[in-house]
Amino acid sequence: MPVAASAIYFLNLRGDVLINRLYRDDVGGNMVDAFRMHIMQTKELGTCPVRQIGGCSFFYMRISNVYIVIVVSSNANVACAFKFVVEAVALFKSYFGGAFDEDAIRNNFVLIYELLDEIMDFGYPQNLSPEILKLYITQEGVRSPFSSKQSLDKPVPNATLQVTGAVGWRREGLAYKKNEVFLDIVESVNLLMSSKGSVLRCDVTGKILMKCFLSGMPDLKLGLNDKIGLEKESQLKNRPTKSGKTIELDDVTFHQCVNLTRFNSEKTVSFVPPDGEFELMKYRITEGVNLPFRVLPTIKELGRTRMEVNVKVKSVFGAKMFALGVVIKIPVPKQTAKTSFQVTSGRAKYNASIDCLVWKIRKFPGQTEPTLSAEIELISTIAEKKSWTRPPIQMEFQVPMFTASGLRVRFLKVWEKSGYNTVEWVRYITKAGSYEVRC
Amino acid sequence: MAPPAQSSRNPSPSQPSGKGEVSDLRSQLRQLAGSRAPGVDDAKRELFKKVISYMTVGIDVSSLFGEMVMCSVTPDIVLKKMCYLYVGNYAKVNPDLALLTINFLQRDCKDQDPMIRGLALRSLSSLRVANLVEYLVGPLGSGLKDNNAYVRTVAVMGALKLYHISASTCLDADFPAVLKLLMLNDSESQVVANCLSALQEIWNSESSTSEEAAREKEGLISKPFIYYLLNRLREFNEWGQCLVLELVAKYVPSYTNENFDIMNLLEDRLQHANGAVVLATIKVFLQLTLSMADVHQEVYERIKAPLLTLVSSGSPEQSYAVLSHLHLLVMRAPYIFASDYKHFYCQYNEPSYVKKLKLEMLTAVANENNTYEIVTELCEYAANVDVAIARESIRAVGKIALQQYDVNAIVDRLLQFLEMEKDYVTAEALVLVKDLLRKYPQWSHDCIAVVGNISSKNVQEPKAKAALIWMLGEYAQDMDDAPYILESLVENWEEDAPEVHLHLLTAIMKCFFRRPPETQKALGMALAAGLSDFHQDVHDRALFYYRLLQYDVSSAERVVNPPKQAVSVFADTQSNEIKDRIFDEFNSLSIVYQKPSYMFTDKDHRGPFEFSDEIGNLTVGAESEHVVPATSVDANETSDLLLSTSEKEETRAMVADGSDYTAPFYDSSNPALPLQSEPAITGLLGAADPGPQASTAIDDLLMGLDLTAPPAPASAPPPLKLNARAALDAGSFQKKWRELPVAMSQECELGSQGAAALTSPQALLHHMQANSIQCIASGGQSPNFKFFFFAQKADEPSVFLVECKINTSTTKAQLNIKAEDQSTSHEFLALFQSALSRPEAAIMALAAAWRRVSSSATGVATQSLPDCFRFKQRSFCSSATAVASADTLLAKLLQLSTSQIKRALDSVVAGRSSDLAVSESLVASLASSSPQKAKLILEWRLERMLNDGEKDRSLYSNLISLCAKIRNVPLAMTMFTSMEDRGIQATASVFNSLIHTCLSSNEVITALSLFEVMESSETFRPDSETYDTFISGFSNFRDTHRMRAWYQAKREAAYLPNALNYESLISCCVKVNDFDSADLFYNEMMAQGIAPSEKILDSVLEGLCKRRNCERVKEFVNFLMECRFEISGRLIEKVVKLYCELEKPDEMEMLLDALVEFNQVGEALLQVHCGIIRLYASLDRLDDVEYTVGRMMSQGMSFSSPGDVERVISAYFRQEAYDRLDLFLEHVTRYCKLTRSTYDLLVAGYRRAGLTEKVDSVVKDMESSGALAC
Repeated sequence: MPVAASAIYFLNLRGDVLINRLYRDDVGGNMVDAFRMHIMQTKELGTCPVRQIGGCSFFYMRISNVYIVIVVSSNANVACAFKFVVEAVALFKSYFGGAFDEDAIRNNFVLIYELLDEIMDFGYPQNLSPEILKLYITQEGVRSPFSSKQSLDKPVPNATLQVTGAVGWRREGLAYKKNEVFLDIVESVNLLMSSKGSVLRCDVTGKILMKCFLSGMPDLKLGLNDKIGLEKESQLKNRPTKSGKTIELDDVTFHQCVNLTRFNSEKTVSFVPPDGEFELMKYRITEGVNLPFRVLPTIKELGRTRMEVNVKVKSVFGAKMFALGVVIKIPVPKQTAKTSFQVTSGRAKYNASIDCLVWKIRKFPGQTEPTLSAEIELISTIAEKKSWTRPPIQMEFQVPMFTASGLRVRFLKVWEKSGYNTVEWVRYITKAGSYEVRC
Repeated sequence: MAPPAQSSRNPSPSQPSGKGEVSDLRSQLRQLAGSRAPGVDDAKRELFKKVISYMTVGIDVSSLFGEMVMCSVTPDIVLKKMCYLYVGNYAKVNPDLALLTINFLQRDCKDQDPMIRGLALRSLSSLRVANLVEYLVGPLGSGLKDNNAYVRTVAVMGALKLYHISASTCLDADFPAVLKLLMLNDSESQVVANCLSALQEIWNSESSTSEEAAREKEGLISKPFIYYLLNRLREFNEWGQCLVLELVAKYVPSYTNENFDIMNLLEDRLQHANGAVVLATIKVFLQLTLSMADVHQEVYERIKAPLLTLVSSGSPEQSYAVLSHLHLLVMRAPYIFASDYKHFYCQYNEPSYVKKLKLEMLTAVANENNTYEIVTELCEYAANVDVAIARESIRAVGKIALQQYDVNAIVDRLLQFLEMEKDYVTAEALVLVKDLLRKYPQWSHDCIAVVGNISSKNVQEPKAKAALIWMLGEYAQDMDDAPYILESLVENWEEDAPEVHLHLLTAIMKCFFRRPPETQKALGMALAAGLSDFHQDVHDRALFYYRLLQYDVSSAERVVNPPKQAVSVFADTQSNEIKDRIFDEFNSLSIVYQKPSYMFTDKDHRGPFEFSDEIGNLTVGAESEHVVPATSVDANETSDLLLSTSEKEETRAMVADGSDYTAPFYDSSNPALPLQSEPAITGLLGAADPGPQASTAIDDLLMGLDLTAPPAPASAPPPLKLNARAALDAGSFQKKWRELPVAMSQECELGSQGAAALTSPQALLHHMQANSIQCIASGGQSPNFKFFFFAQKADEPSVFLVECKINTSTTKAQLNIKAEDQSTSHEFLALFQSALSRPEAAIMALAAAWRRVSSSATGVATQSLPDCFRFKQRSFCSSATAVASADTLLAKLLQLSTSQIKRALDSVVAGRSSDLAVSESLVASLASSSPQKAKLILEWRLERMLNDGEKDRSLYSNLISLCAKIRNVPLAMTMFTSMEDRGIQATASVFNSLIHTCLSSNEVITALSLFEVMESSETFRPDSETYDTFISGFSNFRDTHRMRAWYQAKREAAYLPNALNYESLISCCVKVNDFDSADLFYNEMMAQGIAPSEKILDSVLEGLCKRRNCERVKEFVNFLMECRFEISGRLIEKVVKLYCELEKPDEMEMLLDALVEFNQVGEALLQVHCGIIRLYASLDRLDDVEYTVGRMMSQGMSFSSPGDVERVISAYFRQEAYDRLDLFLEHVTRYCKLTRSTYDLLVAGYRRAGLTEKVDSVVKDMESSGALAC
């Protein structure tokens, strides 16, 4: 059995129960106490998200200021359990409008109980699709499509079919005046660079987010400039591949709406989209990544009480583009007493709570290289040994209209029986994942 | 459902707890129940919400059951749901009330709205009340046939719930068959998925009893059914797919290409967005190709990319789950992942559980192509802030080194680690270097050069220390000061862990065979310390080495120093079978725990969860914090294995069990060596020929090394002169103490440094001795010591007697002085205080010298001590008297060569009366260091007696038993014969002494033949003492069998057993863990009305503690108190330790109450107080800690050791309760001084918490308190 969860608890950081739902009787009621006593009150918290206490296993995740704990008594499927929690949280978020924290739970606990009853029965996950659940779990309550009070002349979509249904992600009979599709390619660049400037590790995880406001049951087809897709296309159409960059995707996963069989045979992404917002696909690329920024740090420790920091950041994307919200965090020792800076662009500040110099540049044009030079005075303490473990420099940024992988949308086609016209919006954005440069 | 205790104890403002609210709710509910006014539903909703929120936080609102049910007659679906939830929660505890709900639930089950039908059916089946199942069958049956799919999905689960409440009802209603039908025919995938879950559960548990169920269970993985599911797979939602794929993984294909067909069909699932589906698919792939090696490899290649994607996306918890699986695959096929090593690089902010797995994978995938990069990366982590990860990464480097890739580069790195000067880095690196050397001895030259520079003082962790010691022993010839480092380690014996002791013993043995003259002293000290160690293994090993040396030095060398071969393969931790089992359980918890499921779900399905038996096994990170514990068990395992294999060669012959002495190398004569024979160790070494270099003048060597005690610095001459050679025997001391009134009574300050220097009472004794104040008895345990001193005026026989109680934690000394000459008592007090207040330098210098003497003199003066002190004396060496009186002579004798001894004795000892005492103490002190001199003294004494024509048998008898000290049976025989030659008739007591000597010297056969002689004679038939000698002798050998035989013999000879016999019997039985016999003897003794000695009580208690029998320990202690025994600290310490291990604070509280009730005071009470605090601290129960500390303080007691204070501080740090910590510190510093290590802990804790101001203030405090200086 994938997961037969015996109980689910929502706890706040103090260990108070916000929500408890016992699905099965094979665990006792003192599970929360066990969790509090053996995980929360010890150093165990954060050392491992899966723990065995007594005959039971606890899976726990912290989401904002809430712990979600699943208790199982058998040899359960861990990946499935965590995925379930993540999906459930996404579902709750879509109900409360974004936030998922202690207050949101306290304000909506009745709704959460309702949802917990629907998404899991006797420990087995049922349907977690927000689109479907929203049809019949509402706080308005009386809006049940089957309620005898409802007028019968208005055609109601067959919700229970979709509660369980085959096309779980889309209901029929949708109608929009303006048929629009928004498509965002969002890439996050993960980088680990050595202090000497060599790339130790670099990869891009990208996702394609879609927002569809389309009538009826449209069939969509997406073309990218990825290698396999292009090759297959040229094979099928019997013409040579167009020149231009082709991207090799290491791995792709798709939303359940994508017809995987067709992807495997024709290498095209075709799907019937859910209504509203969803994540169409995720991909990962390790080869040929264009790093948007290079960081060149020099840190000199001058004696025991002084340090000199020079950081040069170079933007290597097109001169017409610019990055937004660039933050460079340069670590300094804990015993920093005084700092003074000079920056050629943006603003820098010493943030003692994270032991970092935080250098912010709101708008960072391409092909420029601002620098920061700082002098740092340290308190000399007796006990502190000279070695300071230098954490890496971390960077945050967003570069619109730039993809580190070079991925581009070649086409997005929409077919629908009624043959309406659609408006398509495509955006690209590259963000920093974990962008670390050792110094 | 039990309300969560904690939340009801500390209600937060939003969580009311009162009963008032409940009754309020009740009246409001009643008002609304019948009302049909508009807006009433909204009011009801608010009320229901309140009720449910109370229910959630654990307030019992079950009393509202009736009202809730009444209110639930409503068309409002939200209200209904809330009501269902409420009913579902309380029905189980209120089965009678639940009956009320049946009616409306059943009605709702027939509602025209399928939504309501489903909800009602779910609630109905969730009531979990066994006697209501009859009402469930009907609605379930119609639910399963409902034309709405939603109702059917609910009904299927309902059937499963019914099965769990009452299996027979479910089976009788034939629900499994209905479910099967649904599963095969229903158009709805969710119905099918639920049927599958339900049937799997039902048939799984039925299959053990019913053949039909077993057949059905098999049917689930039959070809037609699997194909049916696979064809419908895409209809299922993600969770349903997981379920189906899990089942498919169990399917065994029937023809060759079938697995390819299935894999082709499923390949697209690897692209699924849900990681759980991807993992389930991977499992199918792996299982299908298990028998086809090459395809299996291809599968690895295929699944690599999706797995790596899953790792890098999602929350850390999800990637942890995936990483665990990837870890398993990497371990199975490292080479496939070798080129992807960069994926396993750690990011700075990743949680440590992720980092740990990644480190292990980096280790596994290292090969000749990537080692350099990986090791470079790992070295970066060694500087990581997270100490646990830093340690892991160093270990990882070591493991890679042992996989023998590019060792060159790695050795360089390792040596760099050693230069990083971080304790934990050094520690880990040392362990590593050791393992490395075992595999690549050729590197020894480079490594030893660096290791030699490491001061053993900077290495604290036992494992690292053990590694360092191993290298010192193994490469003794290459490291110049190896023997001296080892010696200094032996001197600090008490500071180290048993693990270190074991290695120290072995290393010193090895060193001894390579550099005998230099190591001789260290070896003697180590063996003596080992023999008196409380740890069983340490003791046994020391004894083993000792006997080995005694037997034959060259065979000892063969055993300890065999030609070693480099270790080529280190043992694997898990068997292949277990690994395969884990692999079979892919995609489950087994992978995360890295053990097959039967290992952790054995107690599965045992019904409601019980904690009681588990809690004891769960440690809560109690150890003191300043050394961050190495967290990973797995990583430690390898090095453990290394250590243990390293010992194997040496310990092959050594069977740990003390009773099995007849190992082949041993003499055929019965093994016998009493434990009190430490004094003879060095003598033995002298006699043994350790090798060609050492053959010359071992005696001189000994003299030069062992006992050149540095001259005590003379104190400033006070007006009062004391006789440096004052002598007073215990009897007269006792007499005088009773007669004299207390002349002076004063409390004085000891000076913090002095107290700190007073690491052991011996040091003080020796210091006082240098000031001509002799100790006659001492006792107590840190921090409270008690001493009895005496001194004599230089020019007249008038003596001073002092009782001195010292508390090292408060650094105060309480003095009671009695003087024969009252007029000078003031001067004496001044003198005494001045001596007491500046012992530091003298003590430092003397401590070392003392240890040498004390180790040799243990146990000598036991008999001569005054009775009133006997209770206390055992806690540490008490031979001070003898040493004191003979001190000067001893020093003199040591400087003389052997030939001059007799003449010197002649000149010194003129009078007859004192010389026996003198020779006795001299022999005792000399026995260990210079047995030859001791022998000479005895010979001299014999000559004198013969010359004087001594006729007193008892003197001869005494002399003979002194031979036991140096284990010289021939000398004893000579004495015996010369006595008989003088025409002095032998008596039983003389024979007894002879037997005692024989037994002490391991000559059991001789002892037995002596006994036969006695039996056949007329005049000296064996008396009760003879039997006693045998009993205690065999008890010392731990030979229970013979001991009991002799005990039986004594009884048959019509002698009554005495307390001493029982002492031997019981302590021996307890030592060999024969508790039943110990109990038997104890009961027998009590039945005979013999009062137990403290040692017996001690042994009995130890036995009970070893058995961890809490109840009986409690009974026993209560019994002791009821009988008005004084409970010693040592006794209670055992109990406290046991309770702490078992984590029983309540028991301790009871113990404390009992102690107070019976007016027990002092040490014992303090021990219990500290024990309770320790336990609460380790459980992080800060409130309790504070209460108990306050209670202890209010009774005028203070922490006995800084360790306890540190434990409490650590608990505060763990809880991050810094304000409370401040309060605590303020409180504690009022009563006792903090030590350096405590300050260190505080600094480390605050620094970790990032409280720099606190760190500064602690450092300031530390400086001002002077703790920094020492």
